[in-house]
Amino acid sequence: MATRKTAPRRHGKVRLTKATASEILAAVNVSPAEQRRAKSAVDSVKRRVQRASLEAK
Amino acid sequence: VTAAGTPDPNAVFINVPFDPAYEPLFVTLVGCLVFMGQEPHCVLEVREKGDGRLLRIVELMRTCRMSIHDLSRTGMPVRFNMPFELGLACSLKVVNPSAYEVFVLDTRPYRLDKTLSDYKGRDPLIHGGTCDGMVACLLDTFVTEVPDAAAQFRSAARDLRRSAQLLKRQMRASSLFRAALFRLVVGAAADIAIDRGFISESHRLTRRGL
Repeated sequence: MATRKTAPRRHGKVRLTKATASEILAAVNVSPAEQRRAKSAVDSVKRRVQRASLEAK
Repeated sequence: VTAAGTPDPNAVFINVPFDPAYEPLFVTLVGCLVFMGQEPHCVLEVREKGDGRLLRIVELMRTCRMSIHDLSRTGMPVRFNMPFELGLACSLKVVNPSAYEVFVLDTRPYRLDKTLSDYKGRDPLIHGGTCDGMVACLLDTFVTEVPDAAAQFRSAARDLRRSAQLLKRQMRASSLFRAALFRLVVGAAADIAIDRGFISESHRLTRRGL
């Protein structure tokens, strides 16, 4: 795959420290209402995908 | 540019073209950063308050530990913002080489040698204009402890793109590149990341081993 050939390999991969979800949401100023709305969209998509998968069977 | 205080070790500034064709790549980039426990930031968060947008962009970049710049839009109309912000990021790197990292994305290999020859010697990450290519670029660059990360992130990013489209429709927005939608996409990415076990919800839950 072309992508892998051109990635910077000289210095290896970058090691990251990992934030928790609450830290990420706070850093980006996601309000509790926005988080609920986002979660609802994710849940809705999840249900739709599950339904489509069941119908395909 | 002068050296700032300690930047947030998880904050990543993303500098990408805001056009409709780039929306899926933008969501994939934001999503993968969240899946890896990073805090994505972009100019959508910068509100014009009359004191100059440029200064506020620089201030936002100085709070980040690294930046990712996509220079794939080279045609007409000419876009100067992305190379301009790359220049700002490079100046941060020059001032404090060990404290700031700069990564460049492009669609085609070797093109940057012609369009930005001053940047020669550093290979851009080539995503090929595809979401899967974007995931591969990020996994080539950053260490992640997620098992089978490529397949997991591709699947999670697909769910996130569907969620983003739904949120965009709900907001009756013509573009995803709006401050509120950016926050919602980050919120959705965080929710997917928790659900799939990529990141923990909070330190309290981590200590309990949940």
